[in-house]
Amino acid sequence: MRHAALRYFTSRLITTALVILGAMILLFALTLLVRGDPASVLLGPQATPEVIADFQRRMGLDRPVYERLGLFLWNMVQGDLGRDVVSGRPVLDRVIEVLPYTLTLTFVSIGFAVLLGIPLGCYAATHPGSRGDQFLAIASVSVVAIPNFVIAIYLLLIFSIWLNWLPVLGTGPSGDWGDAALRLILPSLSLALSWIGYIARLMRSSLLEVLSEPYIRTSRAYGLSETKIVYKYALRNASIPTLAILGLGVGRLLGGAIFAEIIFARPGIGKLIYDAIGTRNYPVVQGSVLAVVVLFVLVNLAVDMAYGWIDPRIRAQSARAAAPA
Amino acid sequence: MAATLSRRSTLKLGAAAAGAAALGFPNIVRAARDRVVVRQDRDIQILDPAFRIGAAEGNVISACCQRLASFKTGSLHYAPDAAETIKQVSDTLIEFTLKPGQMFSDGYGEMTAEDIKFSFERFGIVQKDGKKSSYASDWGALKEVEITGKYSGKIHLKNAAPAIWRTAICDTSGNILSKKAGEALGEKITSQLVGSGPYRIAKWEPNRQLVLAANPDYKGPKPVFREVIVRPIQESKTAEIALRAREIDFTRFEDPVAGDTIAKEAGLKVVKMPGMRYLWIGLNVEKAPLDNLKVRQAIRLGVDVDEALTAAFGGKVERANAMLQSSLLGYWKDAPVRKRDVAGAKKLLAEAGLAGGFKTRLTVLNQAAYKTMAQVVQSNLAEIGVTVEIEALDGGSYWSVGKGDVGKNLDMSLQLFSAKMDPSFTSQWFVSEQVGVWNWQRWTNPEYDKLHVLAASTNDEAERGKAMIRMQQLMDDSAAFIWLTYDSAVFGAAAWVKPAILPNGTDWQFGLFGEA
Amino acid sequence: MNIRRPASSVFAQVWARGAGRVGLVLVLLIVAMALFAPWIAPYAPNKINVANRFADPSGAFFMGTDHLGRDLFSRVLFGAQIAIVVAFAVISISLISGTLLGIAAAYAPARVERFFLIVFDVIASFPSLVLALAMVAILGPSLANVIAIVAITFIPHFGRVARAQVLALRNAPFLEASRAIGVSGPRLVFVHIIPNISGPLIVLASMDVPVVITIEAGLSFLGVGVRPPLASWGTLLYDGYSYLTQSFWPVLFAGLVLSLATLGFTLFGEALRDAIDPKLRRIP
Repeated sequence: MRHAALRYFTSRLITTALVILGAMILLFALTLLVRGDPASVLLGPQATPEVIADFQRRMGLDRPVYERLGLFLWNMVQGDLGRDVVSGRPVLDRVIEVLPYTLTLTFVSIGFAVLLGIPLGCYAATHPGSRGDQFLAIASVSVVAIPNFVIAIYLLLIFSIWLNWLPVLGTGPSGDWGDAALRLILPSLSLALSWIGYIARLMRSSLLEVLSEPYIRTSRAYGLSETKIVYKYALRNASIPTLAILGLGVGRLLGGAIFAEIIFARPGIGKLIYDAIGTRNYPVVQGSVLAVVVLFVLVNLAVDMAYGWIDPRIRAQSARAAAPA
Repeated sequence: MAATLSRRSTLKLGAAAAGAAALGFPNIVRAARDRVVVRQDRDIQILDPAFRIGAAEGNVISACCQRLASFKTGSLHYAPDAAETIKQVSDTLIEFTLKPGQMFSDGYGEMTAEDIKFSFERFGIVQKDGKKSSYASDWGALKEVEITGKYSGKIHLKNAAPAIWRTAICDTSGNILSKKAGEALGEKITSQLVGSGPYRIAKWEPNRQLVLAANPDYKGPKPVFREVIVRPIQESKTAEIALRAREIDFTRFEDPVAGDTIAKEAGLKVVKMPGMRYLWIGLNVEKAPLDNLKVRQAIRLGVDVDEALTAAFGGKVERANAMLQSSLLGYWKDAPVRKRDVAGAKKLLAEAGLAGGFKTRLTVLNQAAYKTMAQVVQSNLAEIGVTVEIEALDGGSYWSVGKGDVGKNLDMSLQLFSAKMDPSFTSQWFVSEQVGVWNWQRWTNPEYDKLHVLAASTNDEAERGKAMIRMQQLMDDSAAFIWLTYDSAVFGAAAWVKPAILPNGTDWQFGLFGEA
Repeated sequence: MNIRRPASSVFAQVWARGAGRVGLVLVLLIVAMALFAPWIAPYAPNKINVANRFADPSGAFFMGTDHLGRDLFSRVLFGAQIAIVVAFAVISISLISGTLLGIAAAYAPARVERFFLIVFDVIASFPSLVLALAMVAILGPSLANVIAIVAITFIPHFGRVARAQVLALRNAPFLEASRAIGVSGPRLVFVHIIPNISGPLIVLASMDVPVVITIEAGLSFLGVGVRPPLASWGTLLYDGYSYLTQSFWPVLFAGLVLSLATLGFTLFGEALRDAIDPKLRRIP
């Protein structure tokens, strides 16, 4: 048992490292596709001579491909992601600067998804076939299917343009936590909505499954109250698949945050990538994409590890395909 | 207004207040009137007068620094600022004395004539890394600043320079930096602004906000607002929403139609001015097939300027037919107004041997109004067989897309420059020297260059005007310019804000913003 | 196990469920929009008429007009074309190459197989939208690039399932029998294996359609998908978003049609899954 767990962890660790390595190689390979002088194409017209010199030093443009790859990887591993073409600042600084915004948005969204999704799922599972259950079934399929940027624009239209209720754009003046929280509501809701639906569905099915298991039936036979059965025994077991999916959720939301960040004019890593593409600032694109990939796989690794610890029989991958993008 | 609640108390009321607002309760207004939030369309990059990109930086710099003389509120009249006295002694000599006791921020000491020399002459100096100020020509007439005392000096000019007051001394390029700070900071001068003006930079969070706080050491009249917060919001529409949500108090609208909706909103107002930003489509005369005059003429005939303007600006702007706007010296009244002529355009293309059309690219600033115009041009030119690919770039890279050798690859670009109140400021961007800098057409003409120098170095208005008109004729002959409009300057503001906007619409005097 | 079933019975089962019926109707509607766009559309989708910009919905313009006075309804119809073309192209590329790679992995020596699996894992671990952004930043935006990039990120999906199916099937009596009579190579793969593993793959493919449509619309929304003046639903949304304060109809209709399309394909995919292979069911 112990041995199997260890092997599982090691293999997950290796995969994680390989994914990160793969991402770096891919980002490097992309630069080989450039026609013409890589420095001028990748850095765009506004690069200063220092930035170009730094780029050439880091890329070793006159050397053979494998040496350049080695150099590239070595720089990346050391955390040297290159320099912002516009400001000349290290890309890592820029990424670190905006990361908290994206992480906050992501985790608040996941928070919404859990806090609303689990109770809704419980309700549906404990009242199967009821009107509420039927409504939830339809609503959850619908919200899972609707792209989050459509939800975001609709929310913006309704709450900002028609109703003028909430401050919606940007993150507000720094230091004003209440205001910042208000501004988080719509963006995080736009991301969370599909996940609320998804988690509600997941919760409903796993709770129903658990409730039909022998030990629950036994408890019932012993005359335990239904509430106690559901909340004390069944819920805990039924939550495991839901928790497992959260890691994936965080990862997907990191990618999806780009829309919420653009539509609600918030700083964040998605906005950083988007703006960098608009300004042809390739080092920033490269560095921030890598950062997203690393975060994505690390979160998944952490969840898989935790999950493997709790219940080594099941692999977190099981529910992946049908999750919202 | 019955109830003015602060934003903080709104929070406590939470949903109740939100509900009340929805029921038509007066919109919650920020009570704290000691600060004003201003939107600019891009993030600030380089806070150095000589190496600024444009007005976004210029406005901040001008709020943090003093000039020898400064424009009065929203006007082109000027009065001494850092100078106690300043006067034009002759065509080529200006003398000044500074007020004593004007202190630079961050402990860089008192302003002296040394600082004037440093600040002005650096425009003509090539930096260590080979960079030269793209605003060098603002001070192009400067020979040297001679220091005659701790506070006094003489500005020697190479020749008569009619524009020097309005485009250099009183304007952004006339901002006074601390020499000591410049020497101590070295390269960091681009990010750390040391000035002596009404504001100083309290906080700079790139991509988020820049906070200007009143400078306690400033010797001039105290600014009305304790803080000016500059927030970068790229899209005009986003800015409009932000203004309606009272998240910003002042903005310009790239899309003047926004003014209509804002005007209807209680607590907000619209400020309109005749535009002085000129927009045109520049054709790169070095890039095939645009290097063929007939092809350029065909494109000029193929574009429906009126339609493009209606689409982008809802018919709220006037059409431009030449470089200079009617309020400027040298306005060319008889400039040809070309009507779209598809058959004529096709004929010209056929003569150029391109009857089958060709593919080209139109580079625009990533802003809804300009993209919309580009789409009209795309559709117009499709009808004469020319396939246009639209490339929309954000401010950061758009403004450098025509620079250096990269600019050789540019095809067509929708460009917009801000004018100042002197025609020579406008005409300077199209001389041969500006190829690879701001002359993205890469069009050169020796006669134009000569006339520009002539017009910039004489005080004879009649002669200047004649030269300007001839220059515009030369541009017209080149067919490298499709003039669109002088834009319209439409601003939205909270009703309590009294903005200070110079007549060109792009230069804002934060230090002179007031309460209505 | 052979799970081949006549198509008619599968559709009957899809139709039997309420959700499946709604899904099927929506899917047919969207496909019809795409197929017949040139005939249904009242106007040319790219014909501008700036005098009539931001028109509200009316008899002449069912959905109103956009910022250039183009007929929104016509553009939405042609948008369906792009969505369907991209979805079809991406799914077929990744389905075919994923299946072949999966089969190859299953029959390859253990070490090669492991290598395949790792590569699949690596690709599948990328957030595909972000990856697409990085590639577009280098290669420039175009429809072909979008298709290629998205297709690559979907290959592992099919590869894994194909491999698992083959492993389950490898020792099935009918395969051993065909091998015994000397069937091998392409014939074995195309005649005996693929038809027998196609069920789950088709289910997977149909369930990926809404995801691909969402990604295409998302990339076009970000301005890195199809180029103007082409009308992708994503571009329509972005244009509408840019002029949201002037007219909300473009956003409303483009968002609605896009959502109905993804919802339709999702419902249809789930019903198809339940009909073909309920074991694949992961959530109710």
